[in-house]
This record gives sequence, structure tokens and C-alpha cells, in this order.
Amino acid sequence: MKKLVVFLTALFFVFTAFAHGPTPQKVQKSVKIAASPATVWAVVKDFDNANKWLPFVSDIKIETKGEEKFRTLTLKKGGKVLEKLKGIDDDLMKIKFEIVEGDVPVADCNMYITVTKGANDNESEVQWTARFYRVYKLNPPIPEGQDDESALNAMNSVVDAALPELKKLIESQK
Amino acid sequence: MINISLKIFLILSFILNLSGCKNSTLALITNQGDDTVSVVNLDDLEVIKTLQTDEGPLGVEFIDTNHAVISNTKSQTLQVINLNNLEITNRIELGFTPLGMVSIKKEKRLYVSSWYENKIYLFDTQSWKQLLQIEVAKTPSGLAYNTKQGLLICANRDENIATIIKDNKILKTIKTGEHPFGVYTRDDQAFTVNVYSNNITQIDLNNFSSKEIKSGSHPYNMVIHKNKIFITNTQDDTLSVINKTTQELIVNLKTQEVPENIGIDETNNQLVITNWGSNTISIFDLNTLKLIKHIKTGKESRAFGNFIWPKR
Repeated sequence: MKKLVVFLTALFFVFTAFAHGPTPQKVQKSVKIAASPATVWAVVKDFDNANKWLPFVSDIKIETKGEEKFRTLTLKKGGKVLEKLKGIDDDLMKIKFEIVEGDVPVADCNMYITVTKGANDNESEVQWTARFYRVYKLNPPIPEGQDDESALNAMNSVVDAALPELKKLIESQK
Repeated sequence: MINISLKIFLILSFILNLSGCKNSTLALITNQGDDTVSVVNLDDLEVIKTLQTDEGPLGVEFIDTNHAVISNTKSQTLQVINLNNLEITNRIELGFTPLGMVSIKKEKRLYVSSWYENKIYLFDTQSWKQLLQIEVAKTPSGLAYNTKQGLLICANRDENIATIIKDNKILKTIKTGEHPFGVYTRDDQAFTVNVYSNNITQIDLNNFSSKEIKSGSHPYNMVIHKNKIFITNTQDDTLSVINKTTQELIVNLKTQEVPENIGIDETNNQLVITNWGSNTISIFDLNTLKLIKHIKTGKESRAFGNFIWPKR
């Protein structure tokens, strides 16, 4: 909850698509889920209904433009995030998406989630990776909330909140 | 008896081990996420040593037959690695954020791009004295030096141009695709790899005409071998193989996650790709284009620059 508050506090700062420093930041976390990879993948790949396991999201709106698909996440504490689906690979069990714009203090944020088989047929591992930059790209002093740490805190909060919720959702379906 | 055999074995192993790095083709992989360099023996395809570095190692270049240098973005330093004993032997404080590097070995010179200052610095690689600065456009990133033409080429990411420098003066600026980052040069051509426009810009160094060649999504760097162009596509997790004459795509090879930089190991006929997302490097056979192996490195493996040192 505390991490979620940190994330939501950080939402005051506006995302800027073309501004970032030289070092991409990385958040990579995983969770083990007691269910088959096929069961887990069916939930993870469902881009349109991810609000079921994104606890900080109050509403999700899907839009398609030609072949491209987008979702707008309305955040519980206010603000929105527009994300674009970049690909679903059923063979690799990998979904890729990016933040187009939104109330998150990151720039150029690309993410992917993979599902792999765990120790037995009824165990899976879900790994979420995000690659992004801070908002401010110039020399120090860096404005508060636009530094690497703020970007990392925000994305850590997202993943830390989402993965346990995904686990809970799938394991309670059984 | 067993004891003596064991001793001989240990002594031999020790000698072989010591000579191993001198007679092997090495890859120096900077791992920006855990401040290390993974030294990979490309003959045996194994990590033989991990060096702890300053913070944020990114660039790699070789400055003479015995030394490599890495650029540390967060610490704002360069560190010199002795290739014979694989130890860090020197550390240079810069006072700016270094990114790309290219050396002119005969002249004992090293160019270093300063990301935030819109400058390129020139160093003497023996005294590490700073010799001069060249003002370029915004966010200088990749650097390459064309020996034949005596031209230094610099990608300026946030201005979508390549700066062409001769005798440490700007000769020309060339419009590129969007967000040029990596730079490559061979024969009479230079190339920038353009992250946002999903292409590379090919520049003719004789008449400075240019044209674009399509890549995959968010390309990062490239190399050329014979008539093939190889481009890493960070958002597709692929390596595009393109026919240089027709500029048509031959095949997209699957790498691991977020492939960034690429080098050619001529000795073993291999391509080496760093995968930032997977914390690995991928090795492909240069002739058959088949995957040989993925090798685990440190975190966020990048190796921006010339990171492969051939057998001597």
C-alpha cells in the first residue's frame, strides 16, 4: 500500500515522450503462481481486461486504430495512462506493450510480461520487465520527481502491486 | 603418485589459465545494472572473469594491443583494463558523462563523447592528458573513425544529425533518421542507427549523400560483414540481416530480450549480441546464421562500442 501511495504521489509529474537521459532504467520482477502456464498465460495475454489484476486501476477503455490496439487506464487516485499493445506471442507466452503518454514520471517506457513453466506442470513463473528513462534529460540540478529514482520508484510500485494481485486472482479461480 | 599427478595438473592448468587470455579472443561486456564487466572467452564461449567497475559502465574500446578502456556514465570516469592479466590498471576522472568512445591506436588518441555538454573530448591514451574539445550538436552518442578518409563520425541523438569531423574540426553535418544513436563505418561509408524512425542512415563519405534503409523496431546498433548488414532491434528482440546491395531483408534472427550492441568475432566466425533485457549475450554463427549459445553475463549487459578483441 505504501508503495502504491508513492506511485500515486508521483503522478503529479507529466510524462514527456522525447526527454530522457542516457541510462535506461530497468525493473524486472517475477512471481510464482500455482497454476499451469496455459491457465496463467490466458489471463496475462488478455490486454483488454488487465484491470482485473491491476489494483491501482479503476477503469479500462479499449480503442483500436487500424491494426493497432490501445488501452486507457484510469487510475484510482486520478490521472490516466495510455498504453499501446505491441505484440502477443503465444509460442513464447510473451506480451509486449508501451506507455504512449500518461501520469507516470517515466519516459519511453516499454514493457513485456512472460510466462514460463515452473518446477512442475502446475506451477508457472510470471516475469514483468520494464525499460524506461527518467523524465528530465539535462544536466543536474534535476527537478524533484523527474530523476532516475522517481522513475524507478513509480515502476517498482506498479509491478509490486500488480504481480501479487495476478497470483491471487489466478490461484483463487481454481 | 596421485598427489604428483594432481600437482602437475594444477601447475599446467595454472599456466594454461594465465596464457589463456593472451591467446584467446575476448569480449568485454559492460553490465550497467551491477557495475561489472564480464570477460568472455569467445573461443570457449565462457565467462572467464568478472571485474567490478565504477558506477554505470557502458562504452568499451581498445586503445592498444594490451589495453581496453570502459566509460562509466554515473561515476564520470574511464577505467583501463590490462588485457594480459584482466585487471583494472588505471582510472581517469572526467568531470563529464562519457558515452561513446573511439580510438586511433597508431596516434595513441581516444575520442570520448560528452553526453550532456554537446562536446567530444580528445585524450592522449598514454598520459591521459586532455588534448582538446570539439563542440558538436546535442547529445553526442556513438562515435566511429574512418581511417581511410581520416573522418570522425558522431551521432547527435536529439538533433537527428551526424557530425562529420576532420582534423578535429566540423566538416559537415548530415541529416539522419530520428534519434541516431549507434554509428558504424566501413570503406567509404558511415551509418547511423536511428532508434525512433526504425531505420539506418547510410552516408557516402565521398560526396556526403545519404539514404535510409529500413530496420526493425527501435534499432540500436549495427555491423557489416561481407555483403550483409546486421542490425539489433531492441523492441522486436531480433537481429535484422539485410542484403547490403539490394537493401532487402534476408531474415530476422530471434535474439534474447532487448538486444543492444553487436560485434563480429572474425577469428571464430561469430556474431556477438548483448541482450540488455535478459542479462546475456547471444552468439550466432556468421556463416550459417544459426544460434550457437546464449551466455549469462552481469545485469543489463550493453557493451556500447568495439567490445571484441581478437586473438593476438
